[in-house]
Amino acid sequence: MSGKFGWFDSTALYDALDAERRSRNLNWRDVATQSGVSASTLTRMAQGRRPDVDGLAALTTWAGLKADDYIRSEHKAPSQAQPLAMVSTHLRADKNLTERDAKALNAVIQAAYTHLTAKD
Amino acid sequence: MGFARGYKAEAKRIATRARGEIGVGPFDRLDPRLLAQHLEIPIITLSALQATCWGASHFLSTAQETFSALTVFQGHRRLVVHNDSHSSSRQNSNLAHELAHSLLQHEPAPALDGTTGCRNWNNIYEREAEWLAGELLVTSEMALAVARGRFTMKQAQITLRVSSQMLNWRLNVTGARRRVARARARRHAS
Repeated sequence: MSGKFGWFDSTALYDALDAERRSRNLNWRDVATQSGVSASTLTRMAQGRRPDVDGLAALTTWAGLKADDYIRSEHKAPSQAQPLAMVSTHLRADKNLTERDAKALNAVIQAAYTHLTAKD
Repeated sequence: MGFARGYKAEAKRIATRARGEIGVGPFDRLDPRLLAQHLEIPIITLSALQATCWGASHFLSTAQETFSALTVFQGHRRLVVHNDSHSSSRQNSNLAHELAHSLLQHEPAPALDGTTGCRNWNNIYEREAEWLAGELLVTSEMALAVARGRFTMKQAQITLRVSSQMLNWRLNVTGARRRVARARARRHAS
């Protein structure tokens, strides 16, 4: 953030939207439909990208949030990595795994998770 | 088993919008890697992991057919790992399937059941992702164009870089073949 006086905390906004979504007992697809933002916008936000101005306006209006609340002037605290036992996935693989396949899969998940968290 | 009411129309809207965002028309190839870039989702191959991960080597050789791809999460952020020993058309299908889960905002789950070690499987999510992956790779418009003979099967396969199984499946499930056959039958009858 050097050279800039403020930055937008898109992770905090995403978390606030997530809390609002849960309190209304909705899934993210409902959020996209009700707010009018695209599925891509929500996916990109989940990856830590800022929404465009129209997307920001639509989402904060939908959730009753104020965009100003997510403007920060200090540095961001590093995110906490989850313990590996809690790592969740989508998986496209054979439904019937052998014991060795399951162990290999765990090794791949661990390697992938390390790769993902190393990007922080 | 069918989909929830309106799901197919929703999938079509999501696919059309996502394709439009990366400037890909209904008759053009969608490269899942470009879509992943657009969605800010990093992709890594098993080959890239195999130097440090025996599991990657296992799925690249002895159990090549067993593992296609997975998305791993840290909080909301995700990364896709896929099996690059598969054919390029199968890789496209595998990647499109993982990206479909993301676009559908499917909640992730642990890959294996913690107590039995069995594979977790959400049938609804898998079927929805399969359908959206098909819509992303072979649009309904393209399926109809192929059924009408505007493109041969081979041309479409080469253009879209999809397997013949994927193309055939889309021609059937979109109703493109049935619509063209009915139209022909009506013409012959009149």
